[in-house]
Amino acid sequence: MQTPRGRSVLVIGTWLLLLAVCAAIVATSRLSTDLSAFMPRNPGEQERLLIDQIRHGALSRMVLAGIEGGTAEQRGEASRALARALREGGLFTTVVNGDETDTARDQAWLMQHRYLLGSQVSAARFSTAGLHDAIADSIDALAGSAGMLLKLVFPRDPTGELPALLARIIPPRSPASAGGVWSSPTGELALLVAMTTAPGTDTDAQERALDQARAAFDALPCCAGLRLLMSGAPVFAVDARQTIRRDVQRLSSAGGLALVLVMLAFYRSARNIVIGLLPVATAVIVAMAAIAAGFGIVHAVTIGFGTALMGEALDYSSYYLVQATSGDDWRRQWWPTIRLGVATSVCGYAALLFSSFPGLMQLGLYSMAGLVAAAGTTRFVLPLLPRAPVPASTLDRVGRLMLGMCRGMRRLRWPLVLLALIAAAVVWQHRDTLWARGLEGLDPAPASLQALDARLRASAAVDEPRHVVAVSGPTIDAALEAAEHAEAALAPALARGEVLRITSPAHLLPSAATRAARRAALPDAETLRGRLATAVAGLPVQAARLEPFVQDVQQARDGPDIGIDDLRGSSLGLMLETLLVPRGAGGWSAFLELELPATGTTAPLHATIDATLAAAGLPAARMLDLQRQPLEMFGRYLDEALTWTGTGAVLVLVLLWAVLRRPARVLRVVLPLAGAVALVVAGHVLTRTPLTLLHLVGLLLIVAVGSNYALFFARDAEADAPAANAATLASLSSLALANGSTLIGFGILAFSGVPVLRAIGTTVGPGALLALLLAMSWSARPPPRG
Amino acid sequence: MISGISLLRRAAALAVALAPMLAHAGWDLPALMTELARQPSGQAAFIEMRALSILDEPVVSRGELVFRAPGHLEKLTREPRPERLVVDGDQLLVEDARGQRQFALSQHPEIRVFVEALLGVLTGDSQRLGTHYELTLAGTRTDWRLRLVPRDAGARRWVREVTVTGSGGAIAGIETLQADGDRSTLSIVAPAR
Repeated sequence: MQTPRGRSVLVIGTWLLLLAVCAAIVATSRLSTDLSAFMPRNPGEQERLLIDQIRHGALSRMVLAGIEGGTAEQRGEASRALARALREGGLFTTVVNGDETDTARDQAWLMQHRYLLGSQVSAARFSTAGLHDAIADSIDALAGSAGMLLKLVFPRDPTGELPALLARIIPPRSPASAGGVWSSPTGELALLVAMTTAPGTDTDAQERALDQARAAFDALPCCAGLRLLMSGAPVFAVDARQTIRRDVQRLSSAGGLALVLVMLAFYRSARNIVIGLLPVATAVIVAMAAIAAGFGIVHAVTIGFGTALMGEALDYSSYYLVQATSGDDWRRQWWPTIRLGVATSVCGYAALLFSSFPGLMQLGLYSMAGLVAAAGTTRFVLPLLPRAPVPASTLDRVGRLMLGMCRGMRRLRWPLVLLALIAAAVVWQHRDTLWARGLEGLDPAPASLQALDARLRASAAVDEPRHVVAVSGPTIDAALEAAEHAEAALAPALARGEVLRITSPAHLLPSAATRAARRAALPDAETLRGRLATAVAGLPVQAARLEPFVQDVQQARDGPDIGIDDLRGSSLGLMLETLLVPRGAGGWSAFLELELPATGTTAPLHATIDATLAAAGLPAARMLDLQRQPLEMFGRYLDEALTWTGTGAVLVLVLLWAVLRRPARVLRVVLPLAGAVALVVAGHVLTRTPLTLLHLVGLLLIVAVGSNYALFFARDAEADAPAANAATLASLSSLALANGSTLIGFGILAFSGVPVLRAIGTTVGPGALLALLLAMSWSARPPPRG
Repeated sequence: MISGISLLRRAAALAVALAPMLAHAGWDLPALMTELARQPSGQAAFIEMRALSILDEPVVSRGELVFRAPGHLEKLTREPRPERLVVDGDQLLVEDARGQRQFALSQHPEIRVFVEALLGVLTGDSQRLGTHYELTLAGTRTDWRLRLVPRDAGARRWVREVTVTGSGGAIAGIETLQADGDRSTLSIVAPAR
């Protein structure tokens, strides 16, 4: 037999042990701030390619920097000095700023290896007739606008391999130039692109690289008065992490302080404040541990959400401390209602566990674990602790205030019904445009950084790739071969003009087999001299002048092979890095960028190209639309999230039905919640804020929090209408405290600079208040005179 | 006594002898610029000959020049290889059988030095010309030669001088002497309509 004392020790001991274990689990977890929280977990092949590209591709390492202020010459000098410092610093693999030396280096490399890189290089082209045609063509080109440049290389390159290579490799549009480096079109911003050595998943290392860049810029002797702007995935990851940390710190300390002040005013007892906060602290630690154990990675969004959950977890202790004071047998009288409230909320959140988005699953698990932990602590631990009675004067004053509000709301019930109906009509009318499609609004980065990114991208004036054929292979060379195979299959479409241009990684680095075949097509010096003598017949050029050409061909025949390392650090290397990407699962993906005619819909063309690739024996090759497919993908997952949320709502209804057993009782609980949700959504419609997945979570929270209020009022309505006795006033004042703390906890998120946190704040804050007011208006019995 | 007839004849002879001088007195750079600026937008057929040291014969191309004031210039080459070159502000667009490419003119000093001269002359903008070139005018109103020597060292790496010839406000030809001694001569064969 256990003594009550022994039991208390056991309960508290278990609780402390649980806290210690959870804290240890939390300490091992890793914080993630990237968009992967909203990348689906079990995507198909196409989607995995997209995610591959985002996670491991060049994009996750690419920093786009702008330098503003000063004169064009100063900016150019700063850009060159910064590029030099970053190249020497070692934390960036590639730094490109359009400087003449960059361009010269690229062209020298292309010139040197033109016979391995050139797609026209074949035995036929180096036959006598082939040489004649190629040289005649080059002489015609000397009359054109590029003649002044071409004549410089003509003796070395009379067959025109270099101009053909440049036309194929250099993008048709390049950034503008001012002060000798890349600039925005109007020239007021010098531009620079740098790739971090660290992969996109290593935010700490990327932070070091960005710090180094800023320090290097500040240390430039030339450039007082110039400013460095940086954007791109690494900046997003690092800045978002910092902003979220700062925001969470700032908001949670402000929120915490406000909560403590409210509790102090209410309880007038330090001991009660500590007791009141215990379930909150337990909830946060247990919830974080559940995430860490279940996922290993904690998304920043979840942390921000944790601050908001403080407000809700505080409800349970408020109910306990106040209602236990009023002299009722709390466990028998009130616990069943709280238990039902917790069960309702858990049902709602359970739906999120089935979502495909890790971020939503985390929010679901976090809320379930947190609420159960807070309620369990309140139920089992708090009664064992020596609480102080809540001052009767407070209960009386706050209770009477709430009673007055109840009467007021009760009188307004028909106008409120009308208002809720109008809100529902507004929501219905805008049902097609309620939800933001794609990644819009889901980015954890602060809005100011998103705006800077848009500005720098527009300045660079480089078209984002849209139509991409993805092929893959177990090795770099296999991926390159697949790319060559795909390009050959697409050649007829290119000739027909269905495809305007193809950019392939194999243009920069052909596969080993292709390189060997081109080398084998080159004649030796003696043979070439003999053929040239005949080939120049009828052309205004002497074969003797073309001796540099013979030398170059000989050199290409006998010279060293080229590999991926030759390109490292150059702007051609940067291009190759974006087109040839290691896959998460091992192996390599090669991306061929296709420029399609800008007319009409490209979907049929995509189908044709897919069919062409499949017919060419490349069944794994896929045509991707990088703009349309992510939108469709996220649209599909949003639909899925809505379905699961609907399922959660049905579960809540079933649960309420099972416990309350009468339609009138269920309606009393459900109607105020539905009204609050309708009003909040209508508010977002009227302020033209598209709803995101995070708003959906906020709406679920309104139901979770609001169901407690509605249950309390519905419960009162069932009882014999009591006078304004101490118990009624106490329960009303506990509701006031609970609602106030929820408003503070969530409402403060509405002031966050992080869009995802703001979304939760603007839904739950107003929603919780509306749920309370509507519950007062619609659920309660006509309150007694008092 | 000198007869009236003889006096008249002398006077006429003097007038004939002085005529070129008189004409020259009113013909200077500002006068040329005024004439040129008076010419509206237009188009003209051209023939261009390039004598290159690497080739035994000059390469010849034909096409049309199109100018729309103040800054739009097109050079449409028909032969031997079709090409369209469009200058609009600092934008340079080249279109040929290989497709379309866009450049910033400032990135291509070898084309810019020629385009600046041509646009400056077409618009009669002495200030623009003066910024980029040292100008020397020779000849008469009906047969003038404007010699332009680039001031910028970057441009002089490509072009030693550009000489524009013409009559009144009409341009007859543009001769470019390149830094390596190669010479290209663009003649207007059918004047602006």
